Amino acid sequence: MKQTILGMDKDSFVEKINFRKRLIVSALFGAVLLNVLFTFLRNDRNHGLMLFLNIFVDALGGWFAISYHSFRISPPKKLLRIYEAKRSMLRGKVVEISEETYTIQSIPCRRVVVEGNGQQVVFLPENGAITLNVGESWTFSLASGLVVEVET
Amino acid sequence: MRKEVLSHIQYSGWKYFVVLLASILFWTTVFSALAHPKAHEKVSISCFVDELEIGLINERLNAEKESITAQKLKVISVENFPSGDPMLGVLLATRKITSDILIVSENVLALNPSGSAQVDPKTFIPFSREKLEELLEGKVENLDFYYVEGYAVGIYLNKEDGTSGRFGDFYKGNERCVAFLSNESVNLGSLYDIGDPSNRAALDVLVYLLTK
Repeated sequence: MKQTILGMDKDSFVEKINFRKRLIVSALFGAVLLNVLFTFLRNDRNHGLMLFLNIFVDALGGWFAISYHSFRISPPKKLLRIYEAKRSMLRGKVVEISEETYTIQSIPCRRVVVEGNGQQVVFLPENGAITLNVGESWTFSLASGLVVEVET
Repeated sequence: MRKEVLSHIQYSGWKYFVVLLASILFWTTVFSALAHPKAHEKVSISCFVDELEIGLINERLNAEKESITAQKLKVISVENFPSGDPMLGVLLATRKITSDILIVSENVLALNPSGSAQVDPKTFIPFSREKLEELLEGKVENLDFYYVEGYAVGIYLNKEDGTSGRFGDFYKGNERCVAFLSNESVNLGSLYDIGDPSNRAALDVLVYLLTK
């Protein structure tokens, strides 16, 4: 059995990120279209309302882009970056998984203690697709101490 | 998740603030430009006259603009500058004064001791007396034209004996004042063959000032 932090093949994962990027561009394009509409609808009576709507739509579009990028695009991109990094191998049994979260290379991780040739600490990205349980034995693929792939 | 959100706000909060601020600044600027009245929605008058009650004339013209003219106006704007302002000549020469009507007291047009007039009356473009009288439809009797080399270039707003129309309500001096019409104005009923002939708000304002 094999698990990767991507949870799918690399191409599908890249496509998923690209789709999310396209979603942001579409949202911003929608905001621009609304801006054009509100600007055309503007007259002396509704001047204040249309001004507010344009500001509101732009602020909302901008806020959506920032938050969506921060929570839905940036984390998978980081996972992809470490997935593509140079790896080392480690074989061992999981003896402890921390409840606490550690930030390694801007990625929130769980601290995992592995018993192999002596005890070793590795970090499991929290938002990755790998599930580990205490007592299981795995062959770990590591990139800078972060678990990228596990295989029985 | 809550921890992630808090951390995100802590590190990226400024981005949300910048987006909001940029949006406000951008749209306020754009909408201010859009709200700016177009040439046919505004009659502007520049005055180089001392002792003119500028606040009163502005207030009265804007309060009565619907009865003064049938043309749909957003505003009638009257600005006053000191008659001795040496910039007037420069402004006229560089065509920086783009108002529909320019009101100047006669001393500005007269020669000063150095032998040169502050404003050369030849700066002003002559108009057809007959066409103006036709456009005014007899609403003003005994129009007193200001001539330069035999051509009518302006209209006196008050008479030599000190009497005048409504202009006298706002002007407390004893100089004679001349109204010059801009050959670029679109609110003069095509007096200078420019603009829509039905847009004649500047002429209506002139009538208002010349009559009681």
